[in-house]
Amino acid sequence: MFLTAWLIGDGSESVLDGLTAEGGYPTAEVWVSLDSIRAGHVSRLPTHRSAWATRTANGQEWVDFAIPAQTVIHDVGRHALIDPGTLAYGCALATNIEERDGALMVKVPRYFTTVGTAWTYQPLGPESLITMCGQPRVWTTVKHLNVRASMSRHPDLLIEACGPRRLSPRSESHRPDYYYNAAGRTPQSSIERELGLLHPNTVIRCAWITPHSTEVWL
Amino acid sequence: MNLDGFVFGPEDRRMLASLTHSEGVPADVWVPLDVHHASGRSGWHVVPRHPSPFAAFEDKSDVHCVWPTPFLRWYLGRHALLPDAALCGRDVTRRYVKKREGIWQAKIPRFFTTVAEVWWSDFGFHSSLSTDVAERTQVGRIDLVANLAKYNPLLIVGPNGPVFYEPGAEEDFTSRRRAAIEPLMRLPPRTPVRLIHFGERDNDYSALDEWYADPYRRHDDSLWPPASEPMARDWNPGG
Repeated sequence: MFLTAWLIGDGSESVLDGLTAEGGYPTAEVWVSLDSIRAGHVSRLPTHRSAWATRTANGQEWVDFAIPAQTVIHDVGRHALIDPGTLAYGCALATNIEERDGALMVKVPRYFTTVGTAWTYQPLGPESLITMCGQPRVWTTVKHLNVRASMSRHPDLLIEACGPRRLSPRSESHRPDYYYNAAGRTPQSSIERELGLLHPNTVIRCAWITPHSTEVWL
Repeated sequence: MNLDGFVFGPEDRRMLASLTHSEGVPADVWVPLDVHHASGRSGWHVVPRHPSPFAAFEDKSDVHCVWPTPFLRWYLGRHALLPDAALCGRDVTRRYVKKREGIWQAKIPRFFTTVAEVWWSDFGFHSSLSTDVAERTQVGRIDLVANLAKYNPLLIVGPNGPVFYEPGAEEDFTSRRRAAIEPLMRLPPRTPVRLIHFGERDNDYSALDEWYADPYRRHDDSLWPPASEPMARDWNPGG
């Protein structure tokens, strides 16, 4: 089982590199606060607080954490690959936890999380880009793309030079499909309009990602 | 998702209700929201009322609560259905997050996880747990091997709570399931054993009417006061 990604335009390959954790060990690049808490009125529950806990797996100590989306946006940016509006789950080797300037911090991948251990242009599944002629392709340009037919193949990731967006989990079957990153949730219909507005010669390519063997957080 | 479960012990509708979530999740146990220890700490996020254009489709849950798994295992007991991850999170309706005795607490299901919307039993088409007795049987009479093969239960419940739950069933779990059942097979021979079905509400079975009439489904606070509620400061994972 592989994840499918569309690389849209130039400069998107390095984004996909940032979403890949070779050997299952994400490259730690950005420091994020683990001490995040936002107090509200004294009689009310603070708006949010990050959580963390240690565990040992395969002889190594890891830290699982759940950090408020606002903190991730502040420390990582609006293109962090998290669903906005709640806590973002992640994990890191304990060696990537440090107390810096009196605050507990964790070093996370460029987009907060990674989606797989490797990626390739080599087709590992059906091509999801459908041309105006109805032909499936591994790459095409916007002017030849049948946007609606292609989007009906539900690519797992849309990757542009500015960052990634990911398809919402399928288990949430009662809501329409949307793509998310820290900046927000975008309905599939809006994605289709966005693609239609790109320069006609923009190249879109299919890539296949080997996902992590197991989900390590909820 | 539909699954079959074997339930050992006297009928305990309150326990089965705690494993299901037809009308919102069961709110059974108050759990301290602010816990911390050298090996971890809890967290939460008060979800805005209109977090997205899909607000109409959102759950009514208002606070996403996260606890270190060792704390939940200690607080809820060994029958809690908890994952292997170091943190366990779930949404809690805002009205079940309150300041009680000076500390913030959240009311959650007794076993933390629920397995389906509803449970039901006693259907003629496959209600036998024994090769020779209809509807139900006893520990001393059950043909365990035959019934495990016939029903492949993903949930095993003992007199005090679930002892095995494997919803994904991606790996071979038969040895772990057998290990979980073995202590139950040493219960007194006349201990009843029932086959219980867990599934979604849209099944049009008349027996569900009885289920909905069950007073335990009202989740009246007085029906489920925990015997004792240890405070967060008592949490001692090493103890």
